[in-house]
Amino acid sequence: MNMQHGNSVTRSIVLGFLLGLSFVAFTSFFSSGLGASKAIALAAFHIQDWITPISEDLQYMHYYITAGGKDPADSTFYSSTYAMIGLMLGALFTSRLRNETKLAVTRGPQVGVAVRLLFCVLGGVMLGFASRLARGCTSGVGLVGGMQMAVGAYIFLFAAFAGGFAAAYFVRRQWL
Amino acid sequence: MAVNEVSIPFLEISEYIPVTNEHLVAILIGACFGSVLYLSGLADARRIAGVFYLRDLSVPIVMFSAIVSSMVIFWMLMATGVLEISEVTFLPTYVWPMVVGGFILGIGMVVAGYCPGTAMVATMTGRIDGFVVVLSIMAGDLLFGNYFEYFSGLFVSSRLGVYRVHELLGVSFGTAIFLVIVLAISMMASLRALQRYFYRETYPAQGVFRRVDAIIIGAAVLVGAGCALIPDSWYLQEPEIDPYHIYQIPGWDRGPKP
Repeated sequence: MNMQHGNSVTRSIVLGFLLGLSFVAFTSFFSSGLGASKAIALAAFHIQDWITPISEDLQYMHYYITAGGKDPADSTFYSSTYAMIGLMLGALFTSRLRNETKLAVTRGPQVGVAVRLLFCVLGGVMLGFASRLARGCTSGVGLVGGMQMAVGAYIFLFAAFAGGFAAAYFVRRQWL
Repeated sequence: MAVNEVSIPFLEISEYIPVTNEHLVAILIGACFGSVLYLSGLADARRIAGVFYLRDLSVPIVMFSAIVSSMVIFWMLMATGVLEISEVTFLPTYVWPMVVGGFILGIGMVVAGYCPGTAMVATMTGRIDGFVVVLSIMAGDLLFGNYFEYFSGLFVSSRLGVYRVHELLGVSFGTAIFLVIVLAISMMASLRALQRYFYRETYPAQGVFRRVDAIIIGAAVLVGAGCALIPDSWYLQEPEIDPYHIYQIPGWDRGPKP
């Protein structure tokens, strides 16, 4: 486990400031929040639509695959998708630059690969479901909403920390 | 400041590749986002899960710092008239969906070790578990989308519309900004104090904050105090005639502010 020590609080504060700048820039250009989960959901819904076309009965997904009734060329609806393409390129570039790109499974010292991947599936389904229910994930609702002073964002963040600390005891074998 | 005012003349390639200048701006901002997430170490599942064992506090510190700095800059842009309220889509507040969604998301974060954005970052650095998490997030999205009829009641319940902290607390807008800054700093300090309490042998000589951090934090408090002096009419220039909504399906977010 990479322990926090030295000047990493300062480093985190400075990196957080840069993160904040990108949120402000994105919101001022595209009016919507910089969220990660919307792009993933759009991809998932479009894949399902490609296999079996989504009818109007599935109101929620139909809204997404029709770009919310807007012109699909309207840059604001798909702006978060392009931001996620940028996120992937930026992450790839930075990790290549630091020579840290490698094929691996991140896991705690006490679990095998199979158990870790099982937990990934379980946790991932929860993340996807919860981010749709809450209208966004940590970045879209928690951080951008927090920036906009939305009460819901602070409710969301407190609930997320409460959920994390509540569940931490039960999965401690995975990490400690 | 609308996106079509941005012009990058040497990149007029949209005739051949479906990437316009607007998309390029989005890609660049996303690249900044991804690089920062990677550099803060959030691409490592052990560090994200480590938050909930108080082993590694870089995630909450990055989050609090991002909220505070973006909030001050964003509302300063509003107060100086660079941005206008009608140009921004504000996040509506839905109490119960956000409580339940947040709680499940927190559990998912400690079980999977990622949140959606960091899972994508981890995927690109070659972490197979990150890729599995992204695929599972898609499965979770499809679960919600396909069985929406069962969750739609919760999804649209307890709507408060655009509801900001100052309305909740009944104070002026600037004071609310100051209070959020103080809240973020005290959360940061209490997490650090708890970490020092539980892992005493790991951090024998360190204070809760080092001197350089104390200077940054002091500056943030001063900026917050300055924000508190600015009158509300500067921040919220126009009267809120129409609720700002994210989803525009009739019956979901339409209607007057409750």
